[in-house]
Amino acid sequence: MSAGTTFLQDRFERKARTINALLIRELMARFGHRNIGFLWQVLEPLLLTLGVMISWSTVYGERNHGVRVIPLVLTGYTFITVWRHMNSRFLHAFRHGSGLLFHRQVRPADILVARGLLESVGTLIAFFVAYLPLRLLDVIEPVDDYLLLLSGWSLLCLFSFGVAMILSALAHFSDAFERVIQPIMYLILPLTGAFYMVYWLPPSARQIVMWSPLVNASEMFRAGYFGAEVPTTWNWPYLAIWTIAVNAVGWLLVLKAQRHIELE
Amino acid sequence: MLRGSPSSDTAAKTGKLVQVESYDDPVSIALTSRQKRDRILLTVFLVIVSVTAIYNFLIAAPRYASEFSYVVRSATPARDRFSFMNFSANGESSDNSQAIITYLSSRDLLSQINSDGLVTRIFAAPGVDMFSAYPSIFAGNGAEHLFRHFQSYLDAEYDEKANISYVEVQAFKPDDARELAERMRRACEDKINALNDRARSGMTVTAEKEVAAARADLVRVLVQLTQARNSGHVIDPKLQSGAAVSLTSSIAADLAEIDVQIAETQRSTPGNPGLTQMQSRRAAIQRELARQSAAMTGGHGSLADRIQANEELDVARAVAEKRLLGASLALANTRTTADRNRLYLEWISKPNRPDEPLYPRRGRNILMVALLTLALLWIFRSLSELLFDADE
Repeated sequence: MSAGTTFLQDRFERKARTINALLIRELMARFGHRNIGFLWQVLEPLLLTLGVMISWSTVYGERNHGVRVIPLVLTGYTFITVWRHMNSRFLHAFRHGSGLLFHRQVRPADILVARGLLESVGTLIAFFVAYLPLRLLDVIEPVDDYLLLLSGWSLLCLFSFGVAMILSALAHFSDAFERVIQPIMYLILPLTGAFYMVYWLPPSARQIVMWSPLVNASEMFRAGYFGAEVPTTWNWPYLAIWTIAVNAVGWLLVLKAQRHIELE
Repeated sequence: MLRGSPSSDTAAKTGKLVQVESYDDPVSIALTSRQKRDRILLTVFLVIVSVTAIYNFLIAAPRYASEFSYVVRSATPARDRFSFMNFSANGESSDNSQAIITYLSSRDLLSQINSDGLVTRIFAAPGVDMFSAYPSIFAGNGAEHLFRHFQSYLDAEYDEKANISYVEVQAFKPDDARELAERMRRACEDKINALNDRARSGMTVTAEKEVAAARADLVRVLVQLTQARNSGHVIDPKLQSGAAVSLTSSIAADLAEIDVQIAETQRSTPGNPGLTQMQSRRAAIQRELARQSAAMTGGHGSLADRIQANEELDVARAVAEKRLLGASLALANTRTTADRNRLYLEWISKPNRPDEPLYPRRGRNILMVALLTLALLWIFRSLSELLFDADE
């Protein structure tokens, strides 16, 4: 038993090292050593958020449907960034990472885990990098409930991770799927809930969008941000069940794809 | 120093090598670990599913559900519903339905239906399993805990699209479920009536005040009028002045007649001894005429003087009457409007007496738990697979 435990511990440490190395490699590959390096990861969403903020504020004025635009854009954009980046980065992960498989410690799934971690943590840092100066300048209200905000965030990241795993595995098996996935991602953009609050919608539309787990996550995230000031509806058990389901299916497909890659 | 460093380096290397070699065979350890892991995961799965099955089939007390549904209506026609980006397309009716739903899941409602301890009795009855009972170590003990516990046996929903509200309540006996639902139905009815009364009294209160003020005004004028009649000895100025005028004119006619008689007598029989008598009669008539006209219009104490006050009060009375009439009409109008806006619950279905326990939904519960456990364990297994695969 003790041999098994040390064995596991050792394996865990090795895996952590591998994923850490992959994370750093990923950062280097994406941002390089020049300029500000990793800071791009947090500045990229910040710049886009700021741009959208400025244009929205000039077009719509300070308020849109009673929600202040700046926090709405900040939360919505951060939200959509995780979802979109996670999916698009995973899509070609197997192909782009094939060179890494030369190292025998690296398994295809490790690349996914590293990219998923980078996206979730990076975007969350970006959120706070944008939040802090705006808060200090008193442009936006403080976060109402951190627990709710971070729970919503975690569920969103786990859910996106599960979906992205399914997509990456399916894209590995079918080239046609890889082609149609981008249009599909655009089509389901309204179902992410990043661009609206559910209570703006008429009752009949509300019932439809609440089926979407992403809308539940975005409402939860915003409920954490705005608190009781803005009416929000979400159902976390529903979202959690979805998350578990897509992760289970995702792992199933990813491990299958992994075996397939190694046989090649 | 220079000589020492390579030797320590080799020692570290050998140390590391020794550590790696301490696994007699990594592949076989991984294999046996995998088998062990799969056995453990299978056991966990079976334990969780069988515990769920035992709870659902053996422990859980069957629950009966009674249901009713209603629409909140008012007599006014529905407003324009053709609004796409509107918050509540059903307008006021939606607000009121929402209010009733909120009331149904409030402490107020619970204390009302539990006024004779029915809810407490239902949960404390023997035969109720330990997870559903109240008071218990799981549900707690106290009004707040009862409220929370009761919420999981109550499901009140408002369907905004169809504008229908559905309420379902569960209990451990069919009659209890029905009784609970019936009480909740009555509580809803009371609530909507209370809302109505509140709205109605808010609307009519100003109109009612105006009517009361007008009535008081009229009464005051009438009292003054009576006093004026008593003090001026006038009952009806019109009749009285009419009588006085006709009396004066008949006296004046008498005077004219006696003048004619005197003139006639003087012409025909100038020495008639009756002439003196006639002239004294004429003088008497003239005096009377003067007295009558003085009584009618001759300054202080005359009839004209006395009826002046009366006439002023008459005008005041007419004004007060008009005001009262107007106020009464306005009040009637307001009441009609309030009645038209009156909300009522139209019952679509009344509480039923269930003849079969609907809950717990055993098959569904077990299936859900099994699937979720399977998914979670699968994720766990896949993650551990990553570890075992580390380098082979």
